[in-house]
Amino acid sequence: MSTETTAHVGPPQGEMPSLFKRSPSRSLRQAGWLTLACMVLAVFSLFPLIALVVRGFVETEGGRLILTFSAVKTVMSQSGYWFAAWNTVVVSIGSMILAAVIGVILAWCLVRTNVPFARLLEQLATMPIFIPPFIGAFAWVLIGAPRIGLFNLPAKGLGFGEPLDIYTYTGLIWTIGIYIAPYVMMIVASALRNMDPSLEEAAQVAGLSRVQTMFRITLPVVAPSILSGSVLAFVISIGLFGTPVLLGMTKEIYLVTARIYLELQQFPPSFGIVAVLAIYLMILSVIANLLQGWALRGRSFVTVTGKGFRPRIIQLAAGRYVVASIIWLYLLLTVIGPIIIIVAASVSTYTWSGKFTWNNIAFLWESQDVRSTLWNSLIITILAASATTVLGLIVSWITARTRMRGRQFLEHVVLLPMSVPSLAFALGVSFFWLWVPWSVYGTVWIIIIGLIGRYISYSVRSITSSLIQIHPELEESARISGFGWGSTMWRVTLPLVLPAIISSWVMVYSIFISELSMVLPLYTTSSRTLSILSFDTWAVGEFSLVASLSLLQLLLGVGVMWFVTHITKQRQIAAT
Amino acid sequence: MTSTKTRRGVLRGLATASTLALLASLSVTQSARAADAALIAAAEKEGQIVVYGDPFTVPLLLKAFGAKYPKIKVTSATGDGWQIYNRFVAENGANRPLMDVMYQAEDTVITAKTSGYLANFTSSEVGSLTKLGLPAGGGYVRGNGNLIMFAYNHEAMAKKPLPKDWTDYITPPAEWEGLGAMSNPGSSSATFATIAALYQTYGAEKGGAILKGFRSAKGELNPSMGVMATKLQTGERPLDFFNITTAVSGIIAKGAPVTMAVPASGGVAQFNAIGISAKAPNPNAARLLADFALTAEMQAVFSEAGVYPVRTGVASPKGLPVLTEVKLMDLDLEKALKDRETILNWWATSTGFSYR
Repeated sequence: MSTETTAHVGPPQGEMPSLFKRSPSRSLRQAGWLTLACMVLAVFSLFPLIALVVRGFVETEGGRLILTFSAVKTVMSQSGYWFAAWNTVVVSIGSMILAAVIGVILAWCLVRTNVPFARLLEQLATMPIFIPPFIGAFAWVLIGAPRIGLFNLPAKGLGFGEPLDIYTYTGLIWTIGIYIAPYVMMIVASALRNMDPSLEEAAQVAGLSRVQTMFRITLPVVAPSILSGSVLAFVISIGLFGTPVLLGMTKEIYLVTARIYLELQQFPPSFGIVAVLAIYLMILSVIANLLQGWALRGRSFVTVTGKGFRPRIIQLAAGRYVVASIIWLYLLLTVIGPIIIIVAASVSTYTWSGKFTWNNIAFLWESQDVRSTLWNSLIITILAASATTVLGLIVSWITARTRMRGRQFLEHVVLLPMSVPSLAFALGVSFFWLWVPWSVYGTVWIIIIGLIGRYISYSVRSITSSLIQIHPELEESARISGFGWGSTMWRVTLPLVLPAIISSWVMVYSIFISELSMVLPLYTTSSRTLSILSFDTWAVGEFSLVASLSLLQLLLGVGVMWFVTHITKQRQIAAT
Repeated sequence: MTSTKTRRGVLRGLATASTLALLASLSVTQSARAADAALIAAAEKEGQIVVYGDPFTVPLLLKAFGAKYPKIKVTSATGDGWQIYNRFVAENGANRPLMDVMYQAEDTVITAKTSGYLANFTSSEVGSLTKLGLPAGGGYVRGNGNLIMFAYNHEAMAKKPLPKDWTDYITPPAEWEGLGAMSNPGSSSATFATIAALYQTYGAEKGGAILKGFRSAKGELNPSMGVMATKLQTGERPLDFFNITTAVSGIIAKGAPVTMAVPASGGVAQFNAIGISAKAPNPNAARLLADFALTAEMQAVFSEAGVYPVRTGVASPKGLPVLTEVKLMDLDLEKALKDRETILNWWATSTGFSYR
């Protein structure tokens, strides 16, 4: 069965569900709402990009502004920038494929099979996103670096040389891929939970084996989520800068983000080059999104209809233990191993000393710096994650549930910042808010605004992929039964997309709690966060303290995830 | 008699003169104290101060300043020198000056001064500073020093030859292959100071041979000196071409098997300087903080934390060589900044690394 087979489940193409048929007043109202949404999103997402680009292409000469393309010429004429673009494409595609394979397999095994301790495994599998990327990369340096890597030391002792070198293309792809795989897993898992099992049951009744069912029914039906997750993984990896700087620069594998980072460290900085390189990344992002749109064009992926269902669990016999072992191996490599290394580093007097101390852990509650930055991090993260999710839901609803003219523009606007490295986007945010007469510059709000603008697309992707699976008939029934728009939203739509909303909130929360590059150009002492404290500590070579701060960040991420999951579970129990 | 009278007269004259001198000095001290009190009152009236600068020393400074002047709210942004400098320039360009005091690598402060962003400032504490604390050009003061020298992991290098001088890198021993690391002079002020000192001391040819030798031994480029320090302690890259005391003294104090050694031709002294913004929104608080940074009290805090003081009578940090006694390479930083592009391109050509 192909995805087209499911087309009949959704609304006929080109025909508008009655719920959304337009009357003139309705059109006017919708246009008003759309304009408002566009204005809000423009302030958050578009204007910072425009400010960055303007700053890059406009110079002051003799007191007047002139347009200049010298940066374009520089970038086009120097091979280093071409190599950086090529390296970015290679590493990002490699990381995307790795993340998609791991993410889809994990999601399917954990949601649709009877693998033991599935819930626990799923929670553990999301943990890599709570580890700040540069800490994860450092952990992998300690595992796979030549001469001192934990993996290389015994191999060398046994006469096998040094099989691992983390400072290679493969090392980069591996380190980035395994840490972004949970994003794919979360999106696909959410879609699998929302999938009507009757489709698979029908396939099996028709004689398809389990594997055939998985490949011909399950995967095509959750294809939007897989594509959405993969594109997200691609766009995250083109915008990452910590890992490429730490691992790539050592062997002079420069990615575009590393070039941007270098440019911003220079004097005088060429904002033109930063802008051109940011445009490179935006083009890559737009291409990825267009390809996704093209691949899904004309298909419907509605799987949630008016019928009640529970996700179908495939009973694996002894194979469940094999599957569990493979998942544990993944967790060992991505979560358990690096966490053990970070714990070991945090209780060491210095890295690999073999001498232990509690001082670095005690620093967490003794230091005034930790207390104040922890408070700032929590406030910024919770406010920004909540606002991002609410705005993401609004955009998703407008793009997936309405026929408003220009709704695609809205989607494109929120997707653009996704591919721009946080550091460059944060600069755009600072330029924009420095220009406007009323300002949040220098306050905690500018960080929150920057985070929302940069990451709203993550929420949109996560929620939209779930929303398009829900047949409008559910909402239509509610409206016919006399529910207003608000009641329908509150009592029908929101409960159905709640797993995606929660997953979106947890996802952006996890990014914000360890976000460094967005905060770096925008913070002051009163808005200093834990990640800034980690970075400052790292800059003076105190890796053991950095490791203990990373543990705290990990705890904040996992603790909140556990809390949210616990609350959700309680609600589910109460509902049944 | 005459002589007695004369002697008495002289003695009386001396006594009068001494009394007058004492009264005069008391009056000066009192007026200085009055000025200090006036400055403190004016600073407290402003009620706040914004400091940009170095992530290691600025938090120490602000903690001590905040404790002494609790009525003044302190805000800061710290980070890599040029990145913070670019932020300051962007704010000034947008006519939104926020920063009062810049406390960071001297090259950024000189650049700010020559670009007209700083007020001409001399601290009332300059009389108590060492020769190294006073910049040749004036207009700002130095707040603390750092020393740049060879650094190596003595366990990993136990059976290998060690560098004694910069010129040892011209023909590096085979045992150094793949062990060395350095950072980027385009982004790191300390690295630029060292590369500039090599350029000015040895000239383009011999200095270039040193850099080529470093690269021929498969030396690698690291993003920062902090990363180099971490690789130094783990033994991944046990031979830093050079490193700075602020990045390494902490791990040495914790017992890491790392040694810093002054090259025979000299190490490089690098300073954090204090500049007051020409558009400082809180000029009195700025002045008060700048003076406070140079007090014996604050300089002792710096020394305790492993940073070199620039005030006379305050000892160098424990376990580190005494700055005034160490052999240093000559470095004309103002000239080096004028030749910045040339020096960076020379470094890039010699090492094959890209600085941007």
